Amino acid sequence: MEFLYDIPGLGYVFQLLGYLVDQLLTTNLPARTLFFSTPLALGALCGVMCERSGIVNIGIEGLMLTAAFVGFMAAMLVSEAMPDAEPSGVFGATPALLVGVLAAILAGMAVSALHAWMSISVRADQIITGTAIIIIAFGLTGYLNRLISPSGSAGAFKTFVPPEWMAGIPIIGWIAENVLSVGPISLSVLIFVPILQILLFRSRWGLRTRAVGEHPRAADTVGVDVIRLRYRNVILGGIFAGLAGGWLTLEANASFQNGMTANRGFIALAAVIFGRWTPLGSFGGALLFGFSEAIGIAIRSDPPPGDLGTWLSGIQASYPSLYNNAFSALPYILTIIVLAGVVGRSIPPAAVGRPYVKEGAN
Amino acid sequence: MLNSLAAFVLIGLVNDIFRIQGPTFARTADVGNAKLPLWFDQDGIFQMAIALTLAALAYVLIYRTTLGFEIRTTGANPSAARYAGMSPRRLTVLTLSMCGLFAGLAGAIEILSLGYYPAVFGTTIGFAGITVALLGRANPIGIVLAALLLGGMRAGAPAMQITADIPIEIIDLIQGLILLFLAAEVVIRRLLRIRAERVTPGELQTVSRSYGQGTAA
Repeated sequence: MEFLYDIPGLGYVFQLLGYLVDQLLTTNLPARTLFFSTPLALGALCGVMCERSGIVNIGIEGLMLTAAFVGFMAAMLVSEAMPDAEPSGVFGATPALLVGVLAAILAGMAVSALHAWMSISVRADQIITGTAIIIIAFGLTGYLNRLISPSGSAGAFKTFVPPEWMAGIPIIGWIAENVLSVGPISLSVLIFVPILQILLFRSRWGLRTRAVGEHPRAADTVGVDVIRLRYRNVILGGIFAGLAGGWLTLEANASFQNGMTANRGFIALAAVIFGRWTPLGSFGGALLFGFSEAIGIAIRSDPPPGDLGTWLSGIQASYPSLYNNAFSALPYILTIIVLAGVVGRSIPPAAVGRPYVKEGAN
Repeated sequence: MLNSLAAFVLIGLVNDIFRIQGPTFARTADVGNAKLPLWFDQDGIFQMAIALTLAALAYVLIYRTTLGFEIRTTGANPSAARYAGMSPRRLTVLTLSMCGLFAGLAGAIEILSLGYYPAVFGTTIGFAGITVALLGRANPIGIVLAALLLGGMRAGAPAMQITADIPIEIIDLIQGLILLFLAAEVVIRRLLRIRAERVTPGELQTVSRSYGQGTAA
């Protein structure tokens, strides 16, 4: 195989492929991919829940940021109240962290409920409401963060460490060590995605949700309560956005910074479109973006060997900042390429963005 | 998405290629005589003159020319526009390009007033622009008034932070609330018992009607 590396020009491609395979098999790159795609996947699940029932939720970014702040503050307050709590063996969970996750979920649901009320009952423009929620979330969390300027921290969840008997089994051991060595919120994605996929396409609730998203009038005619179902879906979708916020301040970091969502809510929306409004597909999209983030870090910290590595480190030596920023920009570039061309024309639920007015009501 | 991309690329460019030695932070060289003039010894007069002139031009373009009529028709009802022989696709590309013209000018004015480009040039002016456009009800005259309101808040915020210890982020909060109340116009009217105008806010509705429906081919 080595001779492939020496082909002029094309050799770089084979070297990159060899490096990727090597990284995927021998390092914890798969786990880091899962880790980075977690907030995107959770945000995308929120998007799928809302948009399948006909509500555009562009404010996922705002939900995440609010949840991140509320979760962090709640965890910090509890940890100050009970400083002696021992972290448990699994994930290093403390009461503070658990309360933080709960608070983040509740915050996500609360802001989601505001969006639901604005879009369903008030029948306001859903894109404007979503944008307003983003701006308010940035303003409110930034304002409170500077006002309170929290000094403490409740710490963060620890990653899953497989027990020794498990690490010894051939394939399962590899999966446990290189794929599953992430925190609890990241692991929960692996449970939520298939459950939601099955529910959406194989359950009564899923059928009704899709009907309401495609043709609310028809769904109403056969007795589905459109308004109630939309409220329920949007508010339940807030759970996922809230968890994504919790991931930011309780798993990935142990602190809160203003605007720390860094457009993840928007990338999640791109993942929804990429996955054509299915949970499994948008998880695939999230994995793609998460992988580009993880590989960017891997290349910088552990550069590929051979010609490719020499070439890359040459660039790094002459343009250090451009080199670093190019890798930081990788997920965004990928998002734009994916949205612009690769996916092709994707068709959203037909009734998305349109408030439902019952026949005969004002 | 493009926001972050542009920020990353520019930070890299300024740090690696255009950086000058001397200042403690990464910035480009001075723009020299391209710096905007100070009229009446006041910062901002010249910039406001540009903005007002352009607002007047935009008003004429939108309400007094054939092109403006076509743009408004396409916005209100793309199908009707196509039926009447206009090309919604061409008009969309054209208006987006003109939008880029105005946005580019906004950036140029910012930098040419400052006199150099700092590597980290974070601003929320773009987001504030959305609020201004909606508050001004997509009308150039309304936009001038709305911009004065938000610009005034922005100008006063640093002083407020220093003297009264109120974090500057409250400006964003107020902006978001303005946007939210604009969207909830119907409810506010009902609450305050203001009789609704005969015309329902059609302009606000168009935004999401176009969402995900693809371009009218």
